[in-house]
Amino acid sequence: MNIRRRYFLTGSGIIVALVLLVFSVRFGRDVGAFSNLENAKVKGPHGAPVQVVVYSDFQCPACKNALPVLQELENEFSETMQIEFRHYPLERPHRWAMTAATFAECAAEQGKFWEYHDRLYLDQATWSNTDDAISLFARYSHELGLDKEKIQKCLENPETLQRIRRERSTGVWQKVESTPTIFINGQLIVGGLQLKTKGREIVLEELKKLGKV
Amino acid sequence: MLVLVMRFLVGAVFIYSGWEKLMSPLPNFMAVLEGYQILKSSLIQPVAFIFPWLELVFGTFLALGFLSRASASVLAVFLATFIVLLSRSLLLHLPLLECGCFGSGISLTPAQAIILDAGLLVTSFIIMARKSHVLSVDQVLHK
Repeated sequence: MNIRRRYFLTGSGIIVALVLLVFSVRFGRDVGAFSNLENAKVKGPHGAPVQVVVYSDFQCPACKNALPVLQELENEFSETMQIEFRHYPLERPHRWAMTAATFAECAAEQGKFWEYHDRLYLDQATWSNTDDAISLFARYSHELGLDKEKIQKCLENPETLQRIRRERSTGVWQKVESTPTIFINGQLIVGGLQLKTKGREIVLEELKKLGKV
Repeated sequence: MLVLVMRFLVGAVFIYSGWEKLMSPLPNFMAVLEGYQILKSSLIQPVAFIFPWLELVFGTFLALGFLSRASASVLAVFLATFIVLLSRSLLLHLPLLECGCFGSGISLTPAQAIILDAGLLVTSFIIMARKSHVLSVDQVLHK
């Protein structure tokens, strides 16, 4: 056999083996699997046909930038879409991300998660660049009328932190690598740009599949 | 023997990098490419689809010593491109928290990734300079 033919056959063999290996490992990995977590932070109609799960970090500027796009979708599909927030704090680059998530989780216990969520994103630039974000977080709690004692108790409760870490672990399992990562009925979208270009299209497709449009 | 270790090292880095991206949903790597703000939006999806395969294939070729010099040359071109892209991101202060080189596997800042890529680029040049490679598929095919 001449050398060229040997090379061609060997190269083809290696490539085919790699393709088979990749597809055999990937097969069956359903990253979009939807699982309801305890204390889910949701808004929108219960049992809505379109379920949107947003993995987000309060200190991430890209998450803040994606909010208006998500808001547009929420306004357009207010009757058919439910949004769930899941914590995915990136602790290494974002110093206050975990603390912000903890305060938000405690606000959720008093039924004011979304108000606190909006406030954190609104003032993101302020608290992100301060050495004492905790006093700002406490001030937001006060301004939103949250019970100070309950907040303190919640912040000291190790279960609060564990809940946040569990949510993040669910994200890791679902192959979330950066924030914001959004699942629309299990279909993964990463970042505001993809949400803007594909979000509406996916929602409409999902509604069409379910015969809701 | 040292060149053999170098071949395994460069090959393994690309195998790992390609594998991690291929095991992750496509939108994750698309978002990494979007972050570099250099490709047209119409090119992002095809590049995100093809590139991890190229990393995996040429990384495997190099590790096995198949078309060793050609594979090292291809990977050197990739490395030089990464260095340019990462340097550009630093110069333009693009908001990249990490390079996105290894999917969810290893997190490196752009500056750390430049150092790694520069080291691998030098290693690739050394591999390219060698005419024959021990313990390689090339050696077997030429027998």
